[in-house]
Formats: sequence, structure tokens, C-alpha cells
Amino acid sequence: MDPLNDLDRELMTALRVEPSAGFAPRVRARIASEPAAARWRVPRLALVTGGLALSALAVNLMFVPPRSSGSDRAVLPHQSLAFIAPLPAAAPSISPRIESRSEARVLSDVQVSRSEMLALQRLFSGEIVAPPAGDVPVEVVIPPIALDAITLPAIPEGERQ
Amino acid sequence: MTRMRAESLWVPIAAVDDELEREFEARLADCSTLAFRVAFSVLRHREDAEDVAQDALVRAHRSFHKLRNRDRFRAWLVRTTWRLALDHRRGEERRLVRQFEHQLSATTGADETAEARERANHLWSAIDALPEKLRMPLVMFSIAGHDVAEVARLLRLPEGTVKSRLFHARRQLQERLQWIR
Repeated sequence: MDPLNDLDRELMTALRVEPSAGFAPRVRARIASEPAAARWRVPRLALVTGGLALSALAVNLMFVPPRSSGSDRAVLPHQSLAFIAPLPAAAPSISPRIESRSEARVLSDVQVSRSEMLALQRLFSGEIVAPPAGDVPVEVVIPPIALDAITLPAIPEGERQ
Repeated sequence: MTRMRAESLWVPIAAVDDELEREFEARLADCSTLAFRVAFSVLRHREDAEDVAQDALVRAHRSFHKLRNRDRFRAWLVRTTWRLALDHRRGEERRLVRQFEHQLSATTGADETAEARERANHLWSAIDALPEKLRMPLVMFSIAGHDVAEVARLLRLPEGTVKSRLFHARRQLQERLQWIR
């Protein structure tokens, strides 16, 4: 007789056990009593859509520069400002050298307040006239300062303290 | 084609739930005894084995969306049940008396029953003394209906590795169980 076969038979006999009749119903009852928020109840499509929406929002927040939304501010392109106040062509540039493209992009749009822009336009269009030079005093006259000598009253020697 | 595929994604959630429940019910009928036997092979206590198998099946239900493939489900269930049973057994080491159960034929007499019980105790003691990596393939192979290929699938091991471990496990058992010869 092959001892391995005997051993296999012993092992199979030892493991030929069946659960009780109430085992399967107990498992079903316990599963039924589990909270309904099982993870696989969430539709996969909703998860994918939500993930894509969050990714798009994150990318948008990362790469779009924030813009001021004040009502009294307007973006004045540098071409318009040049039209109002053209710089002399031969003037040497003293502005700092622009190193990066992002810096150039920021400097290309000059932001001024609406009231300031209107004042500049009115000034250069001639609506506002500078005050006449005669009203400004030519020389400021300061009167000489007189200093009076301080005289101390005479106090007898024994009255001090 | 694309439109049909897109529409197929919009299956009502209730229908998906029903389908999953039906699939899980089929797995439960197929694998609940397997889970119980795996737990019993570690614990050798019927009620403890049922509790552990029940825990494993509830966990399987929670993760069923990842375990719809039959082979994957069985492999996951066997490993989880084995691990839970070992944890349970470590927690129950305080028990000095372990109930050894053995399925006996109804036709055996009183003397045969006592002898069979003693043989079963010897057998389980020898199995317990095996290293883990030899014990698990041996038990899986001995559960009815499992051949080497099935054990390899359950344990996610190459068939050659399973054969080698079965060989070494049997040899060690033979050395311990002189009554087999």
C-alpha cells in the first residue's frame, strides 16, 4: 500500500467537513445588515467625471494669472498710453532690462485707475490748463530770527535748596 | 459604435447593483464551504471556523467590485480566510483545551471512533508543525476537488513550486506519522 495515498486519504477525510446548515443564511443576513454605502455602489462613471472636473479646475487655477476685478480699474494697453504721452525716440532707455517673458507680459499691460486715465486724457487733450506761472511766488522771503538773551534773577547764597 | 459604447456606460445604478448581487450570490454558493474548510484547517473548531469564514465572506462582499473574476475571487478568499484564521488562532492561544473535531463515518463503532480521533489528533499535530509555506499548499490540495493546478491558482504560485512544496510537506509528515506506514 502506498503510504502517500494513505496520507492523502487521511488528509482529505480530516478536511471533509461541512459548515452547519445555518451558516449560509447567517452570512447572507450579516451582509444584508451591512451599511448600504458599499464602495462598489458608487457608479464608476461619476467618479471619472468628478476626477476630470477637479483636474481641469486645478490646471486652470495653476496656469491662469489672477486679474484684478475692481470696478474702478481699467486695463490701458501700452499703445494707448503711448498715444497719450509719446516718449521721445532719442531718449536713452533707463528702464531695467526685462529678463523673462512672464515679466514682459506683466509690464506690457499698464494698469491705471479709471479716474487717473480720464485725467491724463483731459490733460493731454487740453481740457485742463495748467495754472499760470505768475501765481507761483518767485522767491520765498524768510524774516531774520531775533534771539533775546536769557537773564537769570539773582538769588542769595543761603536761600538755595 | 462610440455612441452605443457611451450609452452602455449609463446603466442605471440599481441594475448594476442587482447584477453584482446576483454574481456575489453565485460566488457565495460556490465558495462558502471552501472558506469554512480553510478556516477549519487552521482552527479545527467548527464555530470559530464559521465565524472566521463569515468575516472573510463579508469582506469579500465589500470588495466584490474588484473580485468579479471567479479565480481571482477564490484566490483572494482563500488567502484572506487563512490570514484571518491565523489571527483568530493567535488570539485564542489562551485556550488550553482545543476541541479537535473529525468527521467520522456514521457506521464506525466506538473503538474505531476513539482510534480515528487519536489518528486525527496526531495528523493535525503533524500538520501544525509544518512550516507555513508547506502547510498551506498541503491543506489546499487536500480540500476536496483541488488539484495542483487549482492550488497554484489559489495561492498564485507556479505549479512546479506547488509540486515541490507538496513533496516536502508529505515527506515531513511521513517522518512524523509513523502510524501511516
